[in-house]
Amino acid sequence: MQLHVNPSDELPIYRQIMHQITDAIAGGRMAPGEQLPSHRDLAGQLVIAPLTVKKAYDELERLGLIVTQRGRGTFVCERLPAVEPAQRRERLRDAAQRLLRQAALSTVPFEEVLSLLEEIQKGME
Amino acid sequence: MLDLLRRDPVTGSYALKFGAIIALNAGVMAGLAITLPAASSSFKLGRLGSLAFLAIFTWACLSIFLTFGKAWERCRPFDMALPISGRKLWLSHILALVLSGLTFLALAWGVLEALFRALGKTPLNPAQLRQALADLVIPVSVTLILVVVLLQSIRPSLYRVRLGHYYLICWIGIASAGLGLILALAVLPPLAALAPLVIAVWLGYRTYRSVPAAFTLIPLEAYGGEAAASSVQVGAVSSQIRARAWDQAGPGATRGAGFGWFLFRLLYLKPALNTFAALFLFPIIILWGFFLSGFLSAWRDIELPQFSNVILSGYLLLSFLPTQTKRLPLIDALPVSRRLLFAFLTFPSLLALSIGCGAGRIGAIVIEKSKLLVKYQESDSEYFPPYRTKSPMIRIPGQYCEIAWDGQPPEIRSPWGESHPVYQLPLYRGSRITVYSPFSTPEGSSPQFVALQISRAIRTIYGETVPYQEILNRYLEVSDNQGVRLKQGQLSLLANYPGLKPQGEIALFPALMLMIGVTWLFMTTVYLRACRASVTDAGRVVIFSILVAVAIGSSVGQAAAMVAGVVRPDVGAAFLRILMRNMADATPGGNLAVWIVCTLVLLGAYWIAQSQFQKIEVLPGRPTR
Amino acid sequence: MKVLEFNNVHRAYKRGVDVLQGVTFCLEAGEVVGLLGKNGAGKTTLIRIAMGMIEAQQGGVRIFGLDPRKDALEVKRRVGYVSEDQILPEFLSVAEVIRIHRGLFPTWDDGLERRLRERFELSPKARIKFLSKGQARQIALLCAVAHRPELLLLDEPAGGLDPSARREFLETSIQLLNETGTTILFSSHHMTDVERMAGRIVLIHEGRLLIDDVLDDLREKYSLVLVPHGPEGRRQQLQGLKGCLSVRDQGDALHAIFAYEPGRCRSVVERELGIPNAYCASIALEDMFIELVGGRS
Repeated sequence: MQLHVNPSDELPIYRQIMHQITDAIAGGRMAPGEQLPSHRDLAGQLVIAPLTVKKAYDELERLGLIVTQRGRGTFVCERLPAVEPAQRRERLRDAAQRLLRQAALSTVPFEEVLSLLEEIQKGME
Repeated sequence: MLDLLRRDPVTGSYALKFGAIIALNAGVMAGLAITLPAASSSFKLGRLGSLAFLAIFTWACLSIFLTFGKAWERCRPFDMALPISGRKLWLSHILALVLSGLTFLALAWGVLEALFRALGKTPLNPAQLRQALADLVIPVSVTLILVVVLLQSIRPSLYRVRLGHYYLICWIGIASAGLGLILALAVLPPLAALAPLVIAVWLGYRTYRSVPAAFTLIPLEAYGGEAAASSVQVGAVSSQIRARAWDQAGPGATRGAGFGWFLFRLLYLKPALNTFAALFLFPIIILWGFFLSGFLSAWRDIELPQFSNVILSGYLLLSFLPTQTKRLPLIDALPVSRRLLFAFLTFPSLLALSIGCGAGRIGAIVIEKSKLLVKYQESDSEYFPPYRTKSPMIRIPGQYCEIAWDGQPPEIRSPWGESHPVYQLPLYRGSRITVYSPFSTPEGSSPQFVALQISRAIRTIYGETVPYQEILNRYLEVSDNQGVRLKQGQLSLLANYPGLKPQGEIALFPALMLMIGVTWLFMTTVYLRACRASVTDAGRVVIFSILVAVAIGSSVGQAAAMVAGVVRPDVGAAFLRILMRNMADATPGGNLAVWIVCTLVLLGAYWIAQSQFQKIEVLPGRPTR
Repeated sequence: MKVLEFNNVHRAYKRGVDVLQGVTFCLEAGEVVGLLGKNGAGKTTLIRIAMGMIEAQQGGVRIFGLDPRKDALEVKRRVGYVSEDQILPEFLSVAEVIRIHRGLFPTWDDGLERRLRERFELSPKARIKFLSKGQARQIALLCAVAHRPELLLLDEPAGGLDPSARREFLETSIQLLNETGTTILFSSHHMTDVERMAGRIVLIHEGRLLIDDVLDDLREKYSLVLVPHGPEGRRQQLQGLKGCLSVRDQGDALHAIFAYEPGRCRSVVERELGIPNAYCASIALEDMFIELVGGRS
């Protein structure tokens, strides 16, 4: 799967990677048990320091989303951890705030935002 | 126009630095020129000799200025962007060159003229040199103008001519022709100088017309085959061809001798201008060593200053160093030992000096083995011992004289009671220490006394005993005016007493190398101490100029002291030689001990300079502020 | 094991003009540290002191535990150095330069060299003096990297290069990081390059160390705070607050950098200055750099 990073983004690079992998797993684009690229491969591909990739992977592993097996590689966990509902909401809060602020600046009414969300939801299925 | 002149690359600091050095060098050369005729009776500069000597010296100084003094850079790159026509820039550059050249000439000639005038009252009387100087004014000026115009007519459209091998060879040709022109004009009537002047004006005008409105950085045609070929090669070649080229270029590493050659090229031969300087300087160092060695003295009795130019010799060896330290940033980041680099910086010039001096010494020793060291003759020479006389005197090499530390030399008494005062000269005016010849035969000596002195001289110099009666009978007779003279032309000792070998030879070579080497390494240490990041480039130039000034000042001072009669070089040289002989006699192992001590001291000085080199700070450029 | 150690390094070029004043930081094996600072802040001097080209007037520097002035040879064999103003001997050809480096570095890796020279499309006979700046820098990079150094010192290595050359430089460095885990100290003005490669940031300002922190922490733990202009002395008050690194007057408001995350900043500003809901946000590296060292601080 194709990851990309933007070094000047507010988010640190390792968090960008984490978010993208997490989104991919959540959206079903990465299946449980699928192999992730190694530190070096991903670092060379994205042109970032391998330690940054390692940091992202370590964090994801700590969260229980991926697992590294010695000598074999890094894989998406077979069984994903249950995420507490409160945590889930918190994760989305920032993104939601940004979305609504943007809508306010562009004077898009709330109903249109909702219909936009439904449209995207349908596209993802 | 004045503004342009001021901004011209020539009138930058380089030109001034060189100009000052050249003008001061005049004093040095004058010093050397004086001691030459003074030294030997057989060596006199005739009119042509004086002309040639001064012409070569003057033109050499000017050529150095024209080669290294930014003559090839017609304007600053900054000026190219300004709305000033190329012709104006070109003209101002020519003017700048001619004016600075004439200024330096005026300086140098001024110094020389003053010196010659001061010497005019002395017995040395360089009247011919003075006349030659006056004769050369117009020829040199006119030739300078012509050569400058010629130089600036080479590729007039470029703002700067890069001195590759081709242009250097052209320049050498032009410079040599220039010298010939000077000599020719000097002997021809003054009006002949009009011809080259007219040519210069005509050529200048033609080139002026052809200078484009703006200078260019690179010529329209390919600069040379190399650049064109490389620029095509880089990039537009298929990877297969490249791979093959790499296979051909081969693996392998540059080590050992190959690496040494790379270091040598880096430090001495590149860029092309440095090769020129090296080709110029190394032979000069070898010749300098040769003239110092005393070969000419042994061969033709031409005495040249040997010890008095030590500081100047040190400076000669030093002259590479500033350019070389500028090359160091190219390899400082690499794991190359600084000891190795220092060896490369020092050995070549030291070797050149040793070769010249060593060859000369070997030659001198070989000649002196078959040369008669005890002479009985008149001489015009001012050289000691002893002095210009009408009647014959015993003449021996300086080191067989003696030093009287209290000014009271012992009396020489013959077995029959005859004694005469010895001839002595003070070390310097007003000194108590004197150098005397123990074999003096002043006026009024009897033939027996003369024979006794000759016998004693043979005893001291050759170690053989020849009874004085034998000498008296064989060689001496009384002349008409009660003087003692030789029966035949020469004191033919070597023919009559084969197997005479001189004793008490002094180890001049290690002594000379030590004196010059230590002076040079001391100056190197001082300069290297200034090679730190906290010293600006200008500061380094100042320090180097001080060293130069000291070196040249010492020679000028020595010449002045000589002219004023405060010191005599022959006495000084004899003094040092006697000391060396005494030291060799006093130490066990004699000259071998002298060799060992000199080598050790030289190594010590080398080690000190090397440790200073290890501490220098090499910077590619000034750090940004 | 500490690969590179600066200990209270002082250096001045002219009397009274200090370039470095008491800089102390170190690098462990495998770290990648970005050295930031304005032109003239002392970055180049620091790297040159590490290489042994300049001597620290006070304090010391150690590479692999060695003194780069005394054990220059061993240090230089294990270090790779690329600098913006470094020049190779102009009269050599590319092949000759590589041959010389092969002879000087016993750890030369022929395979890596071949890969790099194919990637840079180098031609063996080209003379250094006729190459473009980018090509010369590529050769310098090859020579610095092909002997697999334990430490890479890069002094604005991509200075003056076009973006594709810069990217190649970056990729080569990353590759080296991947394969050998080299420790890297590099100074650069291209923030995006720094953000891609650096794990840690060291910021030198007017000869002093201003920031020495993990890059990701900088992003998350430092904030930009905008405070509207107010009564006299507000600026000093703001500056005096604990955790405030710098304050800049930017016409419309006072810009301040705090070493706290946005939320905490907001509560500090509200508590100390009585300004509720001041704008506090995390800040990208480039902007933080400008805030800290640019303009009137």
